[in-house]
Amino acid sequence: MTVQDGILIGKKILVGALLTVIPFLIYYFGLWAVAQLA
Amino acid sequence: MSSKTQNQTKHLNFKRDGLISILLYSTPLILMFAYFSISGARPWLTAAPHSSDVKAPDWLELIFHNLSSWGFPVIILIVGIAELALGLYDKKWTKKEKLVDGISYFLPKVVVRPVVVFFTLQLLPVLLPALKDTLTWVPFWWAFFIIAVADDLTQYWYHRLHHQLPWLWRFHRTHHSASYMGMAMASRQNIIYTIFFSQTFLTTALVYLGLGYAALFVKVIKRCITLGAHSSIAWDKPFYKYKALQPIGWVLERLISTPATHQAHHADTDGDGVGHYKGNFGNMFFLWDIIFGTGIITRKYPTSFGIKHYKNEEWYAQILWPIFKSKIPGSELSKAGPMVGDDPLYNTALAGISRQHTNELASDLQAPDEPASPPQAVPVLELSQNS
Repeated sequence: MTVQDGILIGKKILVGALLTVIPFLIYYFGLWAVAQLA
Repeated sequence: MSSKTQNQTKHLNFKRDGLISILLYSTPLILMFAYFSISGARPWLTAAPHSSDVKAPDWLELIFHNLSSWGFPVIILIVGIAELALGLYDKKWTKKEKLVDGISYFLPKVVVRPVVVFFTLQLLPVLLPALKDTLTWVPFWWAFFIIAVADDLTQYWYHRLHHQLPWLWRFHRTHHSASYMGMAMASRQNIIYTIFFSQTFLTTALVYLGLGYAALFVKVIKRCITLGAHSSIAWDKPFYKYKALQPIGWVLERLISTPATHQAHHADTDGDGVGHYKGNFGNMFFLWDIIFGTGIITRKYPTSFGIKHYKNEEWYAQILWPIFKSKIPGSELSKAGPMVGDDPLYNTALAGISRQHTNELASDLQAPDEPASPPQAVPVLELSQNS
C-alpha cells in the first residue's frame, strides 16, 4: 500500500462521510422543525 | 460536444440529482408535518416510548428478530442449494470464486460488523452526547418510512458513485467480477467498500436517535428484496408472463429491484437491449433509478454476467485492494494497472486524448488568425466500467 492508496482511501471516506452527514442533518433538524412548527 | 461541455452536463446531472435527493429525503418529513398539522396529534409532547403508537404483533417481531439473526443464513443456504441443484451456476463457480464469495460472506459478519458497531456505539455518545433517544417520539410507521428512504437512497448514491466516478470503481469491482448470479455472490464485495457503507453509518446514527425499532423491520425487508434481486431464480417471470399478474408486475418492477432489472446491472454487456451495467443502481427500491433516469426495464434476462476484462485476480487482491494488490499484469487491481480496464470507451478516451493533443500541436502550427480546431470529446465519466 502506497501513500497514493492512502490518499485514495481518504478521498473515498470523505465522499462516504458526505453521503452520511447530509441526510443525517436533514432528518435531525427536519424532525426538530416538525416538533416545533406542527 | 466538447469535453468541457460534456463534463459540465454530467456535473449538472449530479447537481440536479443532488437537489432532487434532498427533496426525496425530505418527503417523509413534509408528509409528517402535514399529517400532524391536520390531525392535531403531538406525540413529542407526551414523550411516550417510540413503540407506543404502532407496535408490531409479538409473533411478527419474533419472525423479524429471528430472520436478522439466524433466519437469513438459512434462507441463503436453502435458495443457494436450489440454485446449485438447478445448475444455475453453470460450472462457473470455480474454487477461486468460491473462496472470494466465502470470505466476502464471513469476513463482514465475523470481523467488520462487530468492529464497526462497537466503535460507532463508543463514538456516538462522545460526538453527540445529548442526542441519544431524542427522537423516540416518532411514531413507528413514520420512522419506518424515514429509515427506508434514508437507508436506501443513501445506498443508491454510494453505489452509483462507485460506478460513475472512475477512481471509485475498483472498490466495487469485486461485486461485478462474478460471472454468475445467485446467493453465492450477493455479499461478494471488497472489504473497504463494505466497511465504509454510508447507509450503515446513517442508519446506526438514526437508531442512536431512537428510530431503532423501525430500522429492524426495514433492514429485514431490504435484505429479502436484495437477496431476491441477486438470485439466479427469476421469481419475477410470472408477473410478466400472465396477463392477470402484469399490472402487479408493472408496479413491482418500478418500485423494487427484481432479478430482471438487477441481473441487467450485472450483465457483461450494455446497450444490447438487455444488459445495463451503466445503470439500474437501486438496491431495495428501483424507484430511484426511475426518478433519476438511470434505470432500464426490459423484462429480459442477460445470458452472461461479470466484466469482460476480468483476469481471475487473486482472492486477497479482490477483497483487500488496495492494501494488497494483484500480481497479474494489466489487471485493474495490480500496482501499475489501469483505473478502468479494457472497456472500448477507455481506448476511445485515450484516442480522444491523443486527438486532442494532436489538435493542440496542429493549432500551434496554424496561422495566427486561423481558428483552432475544437477539442475532441473525452468521455471521462463514461470510463466507469460495469456500472
